[in-house]
Amino acid sequence: MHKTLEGVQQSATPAIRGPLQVYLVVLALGLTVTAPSRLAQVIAAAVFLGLAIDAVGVRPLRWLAVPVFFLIPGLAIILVTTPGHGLIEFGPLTITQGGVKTVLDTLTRSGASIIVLGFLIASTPVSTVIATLRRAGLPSVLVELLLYVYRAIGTVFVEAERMQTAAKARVGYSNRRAKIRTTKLIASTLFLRTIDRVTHLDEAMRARGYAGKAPATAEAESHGYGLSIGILAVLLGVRIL
Amino acid sequence: MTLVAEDVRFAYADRDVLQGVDFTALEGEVTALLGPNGAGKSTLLKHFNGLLRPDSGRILVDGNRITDDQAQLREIRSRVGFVFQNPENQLLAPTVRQDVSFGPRNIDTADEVDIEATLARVGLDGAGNRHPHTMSNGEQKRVALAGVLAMDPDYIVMDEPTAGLDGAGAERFVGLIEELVDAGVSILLSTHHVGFGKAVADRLAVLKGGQIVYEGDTIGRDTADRYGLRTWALERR
Ligand SMILES: Nc1ncnc2c1ncn2[C@@H]1O[C@H](COP(=O)(O)OP(=O)(O)OP(=O)(O)O)[C@@H](O)[C@H]1O
Ligand SMILES: [Mg+2]
Repeated sequence: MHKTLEGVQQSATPAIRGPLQVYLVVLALGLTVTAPSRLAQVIAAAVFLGLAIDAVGVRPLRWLAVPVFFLIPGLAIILVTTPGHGLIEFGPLTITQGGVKTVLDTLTRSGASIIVLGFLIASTPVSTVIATLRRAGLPSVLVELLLYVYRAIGTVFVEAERMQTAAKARVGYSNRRAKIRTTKLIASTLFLRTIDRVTHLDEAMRARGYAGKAPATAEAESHGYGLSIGILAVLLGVRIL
Repeated sequence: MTLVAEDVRFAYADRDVLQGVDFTALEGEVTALLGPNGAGKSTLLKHFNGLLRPDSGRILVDGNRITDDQAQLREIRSRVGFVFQNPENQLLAPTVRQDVSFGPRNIDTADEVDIEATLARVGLDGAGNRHPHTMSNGEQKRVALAGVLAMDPDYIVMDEPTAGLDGAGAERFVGLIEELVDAGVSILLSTHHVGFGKAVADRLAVLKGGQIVYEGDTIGRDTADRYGLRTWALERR
């Protein structure tokens, strides 16, 4: 019923594991973002969705919808600001052919990228990802920054969820007015709380010997070489065709 | 009003926590739910405020089964207050005053509630402008309690109310519970301090292995030992 991301990652059984998984995802992500045709993006999305479902099942993947949700306002703006041949007009707003094309393009490109990354995020603990990136020679400042951003984002989600449960217990969502008031209150506390939590987390890490270099445990063994090569061949193949 | 669990089962992801719990907390009484760490006390208590729903079995508040009906949930949550074990899970406003008035505003009683008096009741006079996240754990616990007292519930469910309080804090708490009972409030609390439970409760129940394994109006040292409960906590002082 309730399962945290860590729980999902721990019980995941990805067909491609270890550092190989990180390399494959980074490569596939590069190929997907730069893919020349929509077909290539759709194929990448289908392949990695399959891998992710195989690794963790369908349920945990509903979180992939969250980043897509954040995309929507941006896409709406693109839709009405791209100049070109008008298709539909709403008062002062015109939706153009170019706008529709750009939006569809952005949606498949980012949707496919999110799915490719989703396979990694859903099935591999962040410490493995960090260790692999570090071993691959990514500057440690960048790795630590990534880790910090990851922690802050994670904390925002955790705190927001806790406060929503707290609000429910004291009837915070009983009608529209209460909902708006509660959301405003939580939003105004969320920032303070997140800063506070991240500071405490930092304190806790330093108390246990953290000095700007996060402990990272890489899974030593990679599995799934054959499958990885096959996938890369397909992704490269659709580019050439 | 009474709180009843009938053959309640509940699992988190892959962990079966409640495995056929039958339990009653009567109106006008203080009921203590004992049990070792991880027994499922918090999980059971959250059912009585509708924060969790049983996978099977029934939760009855005053004889009415808790369902998904929003109007019913609102009514239940305004009558059965819930004080979280960890105050960080309960506090949600930038200041103490805003947090304590949160519940009353939601149930339209904010005009009738004296926030300062409520804070005084938990020994936090004049703390209204403080930021809860900069307060000590014991202080936060009292803010959390004030936030529920301010809603004037008929029943208060408190999860580990004395954990983390010092001796004086725990003693003040016993006094507060007596005051609440005199004012007609019924109380269900969880604790693993057998001594504290015996000191305040009219009835005690032990939750272990997913079921209620003992119920009585007191509990002997042997029984407590058998269920792995600490017996010395308050008695030794
Ligand atoms: N959100 C959750 N997801 C998964 N498992 C959980 C969750 N919350 C609690 N559990 C597990 O359910 C079991 C019961 O937890 P619960 O918090 O109800 O115990 P408790 O009796 O209140 O313990 P304590 O005395 O330590 O407060 C524990 O094994 C705990 O690890
Ligand atoms: Mg508990």
